[in-house]
Amino acid sequence: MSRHLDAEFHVRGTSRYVDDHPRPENMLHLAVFGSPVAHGRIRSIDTRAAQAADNVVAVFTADDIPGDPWHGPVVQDEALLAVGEVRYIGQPIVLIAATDTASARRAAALVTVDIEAREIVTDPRVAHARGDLFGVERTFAQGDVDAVWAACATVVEGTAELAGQEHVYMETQRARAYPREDGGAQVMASTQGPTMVQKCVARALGVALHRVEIDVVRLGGGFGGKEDNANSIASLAAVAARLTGRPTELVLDRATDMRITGKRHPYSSDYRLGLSADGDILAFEARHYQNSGGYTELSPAVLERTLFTSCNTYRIPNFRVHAACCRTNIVPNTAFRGFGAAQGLWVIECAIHHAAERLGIAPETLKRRNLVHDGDWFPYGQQVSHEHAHLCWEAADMQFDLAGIRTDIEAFNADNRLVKKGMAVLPICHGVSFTKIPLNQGQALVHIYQDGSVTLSSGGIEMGQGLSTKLAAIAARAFGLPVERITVQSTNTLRTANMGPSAASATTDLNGNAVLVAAQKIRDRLLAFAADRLGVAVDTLDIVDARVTQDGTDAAWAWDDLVAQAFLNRINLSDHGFYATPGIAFDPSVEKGQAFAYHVYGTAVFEVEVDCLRGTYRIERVSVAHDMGRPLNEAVDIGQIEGGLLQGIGWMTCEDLRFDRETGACTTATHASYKVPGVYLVPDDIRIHLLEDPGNSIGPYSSKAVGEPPFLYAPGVYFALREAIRAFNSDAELGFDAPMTPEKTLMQLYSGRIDALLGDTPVPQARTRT
Amino acid sequence: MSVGIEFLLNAHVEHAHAGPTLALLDYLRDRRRIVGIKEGCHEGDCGACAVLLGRPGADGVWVYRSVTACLVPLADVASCHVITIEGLNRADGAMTAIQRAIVDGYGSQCGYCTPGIVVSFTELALSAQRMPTRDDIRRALGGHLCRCTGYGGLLRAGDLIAEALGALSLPANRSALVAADLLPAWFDTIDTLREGLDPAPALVSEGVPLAGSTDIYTRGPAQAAAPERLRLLSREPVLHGIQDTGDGLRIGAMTTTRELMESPAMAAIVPTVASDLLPVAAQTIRNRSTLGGNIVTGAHNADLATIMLGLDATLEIVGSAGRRELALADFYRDATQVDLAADEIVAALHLRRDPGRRVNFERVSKRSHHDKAIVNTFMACRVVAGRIEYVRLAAAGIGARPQRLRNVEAWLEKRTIDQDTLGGALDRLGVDIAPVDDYQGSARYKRLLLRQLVLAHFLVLFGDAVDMEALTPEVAS
Repeated sequence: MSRHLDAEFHVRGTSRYVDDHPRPENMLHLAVFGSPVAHGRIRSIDTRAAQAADNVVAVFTADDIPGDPWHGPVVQDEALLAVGEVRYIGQPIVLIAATDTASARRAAALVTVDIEAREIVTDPRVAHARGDLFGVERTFAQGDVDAVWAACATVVEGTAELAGQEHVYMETQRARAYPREDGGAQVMASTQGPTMVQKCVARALGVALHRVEIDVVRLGGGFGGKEDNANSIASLAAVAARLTGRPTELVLDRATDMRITGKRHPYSSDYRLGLSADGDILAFEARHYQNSGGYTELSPAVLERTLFTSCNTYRIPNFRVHAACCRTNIVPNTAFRGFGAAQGLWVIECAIHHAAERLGIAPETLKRRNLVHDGDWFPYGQQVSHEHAHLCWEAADMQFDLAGIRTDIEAFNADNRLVKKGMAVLPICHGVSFTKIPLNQGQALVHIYQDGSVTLSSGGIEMGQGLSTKLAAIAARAFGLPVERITVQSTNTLRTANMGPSAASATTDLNGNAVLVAAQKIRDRLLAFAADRLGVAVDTLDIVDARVTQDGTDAAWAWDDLVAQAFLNRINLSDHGFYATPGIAFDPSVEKGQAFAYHVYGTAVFEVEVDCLRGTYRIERVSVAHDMGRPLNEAVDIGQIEGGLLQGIGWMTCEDLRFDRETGACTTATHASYKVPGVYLVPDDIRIHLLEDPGNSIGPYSSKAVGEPPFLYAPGVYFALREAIRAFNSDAELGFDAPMTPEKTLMQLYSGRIDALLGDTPVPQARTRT
Repeated sequence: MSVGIEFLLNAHVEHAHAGPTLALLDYLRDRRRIVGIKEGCHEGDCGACAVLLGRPGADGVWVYRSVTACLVPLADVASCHVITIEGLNRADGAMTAIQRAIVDGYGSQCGYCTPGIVVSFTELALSAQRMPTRDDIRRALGGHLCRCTGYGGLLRAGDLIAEALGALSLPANRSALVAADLLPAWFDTIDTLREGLDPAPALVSEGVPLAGSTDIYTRGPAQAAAPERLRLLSREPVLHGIQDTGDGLRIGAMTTTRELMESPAMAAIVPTVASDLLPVAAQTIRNRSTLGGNIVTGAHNADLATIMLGLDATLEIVGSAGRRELALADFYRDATQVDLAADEIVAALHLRRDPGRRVNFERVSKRSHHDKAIVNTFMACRVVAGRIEYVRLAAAGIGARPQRLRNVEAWLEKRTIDQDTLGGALDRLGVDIAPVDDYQGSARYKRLLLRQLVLAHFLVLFGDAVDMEALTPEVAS
């Protein structure tokens, strides 16, 4: 198995990220001044002090932008530098260029603005009530929900609250831009979407796309945070480069990055679930209030994915879910691994746990009973096929013994008073494809050089997920070469045009299939040439371990010689591959269609232990039965599963993203106050069982997407903790409100008794959490 | 203001001319363009900028510690040895066993955190006294944030490194580590390199006293926030070391948290000190943070200060007017200011040994490790025949400063341990405290948490004598 292709550079510290490249002598360093208030009309901007500061070369506002300042992936409603109005704290207003970073940042602090304050809304329900929405409310439905409630033996309803999440990619947002002689720009960006950056830069400069080159070697983490957030960063750098005629670089420091960039959307949701006497789900209704932030950004696309995943992996014959993007005065939220899916899944899972608690039965009983079968319909009008929900569940049961875990936990809880355990089983189902159909295309450019070495470029971005490793493996396999003969180049808009972003877990599928197309075209030409020379039928030939074989025996022709001869005989050693996912369609006017190429399934079991004295907890074990098709590189995929699991566990436990309700300020915008998982949060025991699967006809070499699905297991840890809390305090009204911080854990453990324990009547505290 | 600062940087003598307060990270990355070292947060939390910082220990043997370069003032590395990832690479382009372990363990994805982790794993190899356990590996990784791997591959890499170390006779000298490919070959020449170094360079020696700089340098981009003139306390020998004074200990103010954790003398007083302090910051920080710094900063949730309050520590304060002693509890009398004149520094803490004393430390933070305490508390007591002879109960996170809960102490002292005594103590917990709502938690939570942690003291210290049923009534069942 090949290693992670970049790892050897990483461990030596020689991997280059944007600002690791040698600096041009006259490069300028940039800093932004952002809005100090969350909502208001700009009366005036005073940049005189900043302009006069040491080492400052130029100061820009929106008026200086040569092209169109407005940008946005769905609706162009935000300006690169604010025009007229600000809608969130930190919204860029002024751009400073100086000869060093410290001077630029110091000068930014000298800018003052006069802003007429407007009312600040941070609660999406308030925004919804006022009609402050991006786009229109959308509804996915099937069956007739209203007709069924009366027939339900059990109906539960409630609300579910879910906080956002900060990406904390280790490399903050950054870009370096070089002015081009034709008025365009060349930009080294840290982006998941080079074409989106190219469009944004071209628009800002007022030039056509062919005058903008975007190059991306790799990202120091993305997770969705560099899908759209990166556009404005790169565009600001390009604008400054154009206006000063010098190379520029904009690197956000961590606190600024956390304060001004979009994050995972917080949601507030209402649900209602109806069951038959046998425990069959008859009806589910929900309304999601997405906290979108100040501008549209990717919110409508994220919202759509919430709707697609609101049924998770359950058969729900009568289904109606509404969702709306609510405009508030926090950062414009954006893509984050899971892209709205986790928020949708969370609510149906809350509803099922609620029902199970009402009925006094184990939640997994209800979940197992209601898994989808082939032939069922997802509410978005796609019929279930190649369903692996049961395979995963049964594999989990077989490997991990779900009933045994439950029995052990009950016995432990009966014997222990101050320590309680809890478990939760969480099945997932994730549709793979961009729900925006045009994005489902991939491209690759493959060259073989005269020495037999192979290079490939694609429309995919290496951000740690192992894309390069997988693409190289695909090319190596297609050519019959060892992987060392392949080099994966930077992603560049001159070599690959019109790329979709590296997102939606689809990057390997799309670009890997494109690599396969390109490689096979060249291979076909090489083998035709070889067949001609050897005077044999082409279908008897193959390339194995860098040698030509005929009917399985060595044909005394090495790869390098074959390539050299082919070149001399003017055989084209380069090709371009294009791949578009077949058979997918979606019609938003009726909210129905064959939206996904396939689905990824899995089942996870979380076991936790709660210290009921201190309100702290430990995640003892996570066991996963996961559907991955035939992995291209199992170790890389395990790394994706482990990474996704812990990122999800962080979201549900210690990552406590807060906004001040009155000011709209993010009060956890530093590493000191926002805690991502460290090594001590890693479960003591992680068991990963990969489903032995006949494969997946759509993915390259029968592989399946792996980026986002493992993240979707996240709510499992919440429910396991909740169960342990209920084992200590069985009739507390707990509600559903993630994350489960140590604070919430302790307050819930003693819910109903805190006044008595503290010996007083509490003064109601203003809640600052949104 | 620019000064000349000389130190060893990897395998050469570096002559820096820069502001003394410039963060080492900014000097290396921005000025010198040594870019293997990464900036992830510039607040000491992520570990991406970790370097090995070597300086002579008490016995003259050089000690190398992994520290975050963003929190180290350049002046403080004068006459020291700084090793970056570039210095850990083999000259022939091959990987060391540590680098290979990370590659083979699939412990690197986006790679941004990786160079810092190689540095900390190298410290693990340099300081291993025995074959590292998973706990040792976690400790080495504790100051590093990785957002990609979920740490699975890094733990596996740690296991591979532990195996390589297990094959050696430990502790291993540098030559053995070079031979095992855990260090690049030039480490064998370190002693020669050091000979070229000015042992006592001219340094700024007046200005703001700076200990481990792990607090002040976290306040935004350091170059802007740090004071222009520094008094580097690391250069003052009288502030270092833990000495037995006959009836107790004198702990130099510059004693690091790491040194406290590893001190047998300290363990004789607080047997669980190593595990108590494990959640406090992370090894990369504990290698720099000092006892004196924690005391003088006196943050509202300081951990070492709480422990020292509970141990009745006395401060040794030195200034131009001479030397004085002051009980730590009196040092914090004022919520807004500590009792320290501008020309004074805390030189040491004195602890009295008391063989009959039993102690317990409790703390809770949002992230279990490497996070500030929401509430912490330390209890020390002597119990004779079921009666509390004396008790000290200190806590932090519930007021402007770490404090003693004197009402509770007064109630408990000279009483027999029974339900009435303990219940009465819990009833008195709210008297002296004034927690506030902040991002760490609500005031109400902090009050409940303090109650629970004091209950935990009783459970740990008085064990069977505590009827938990009575003190933690069944909520429902």
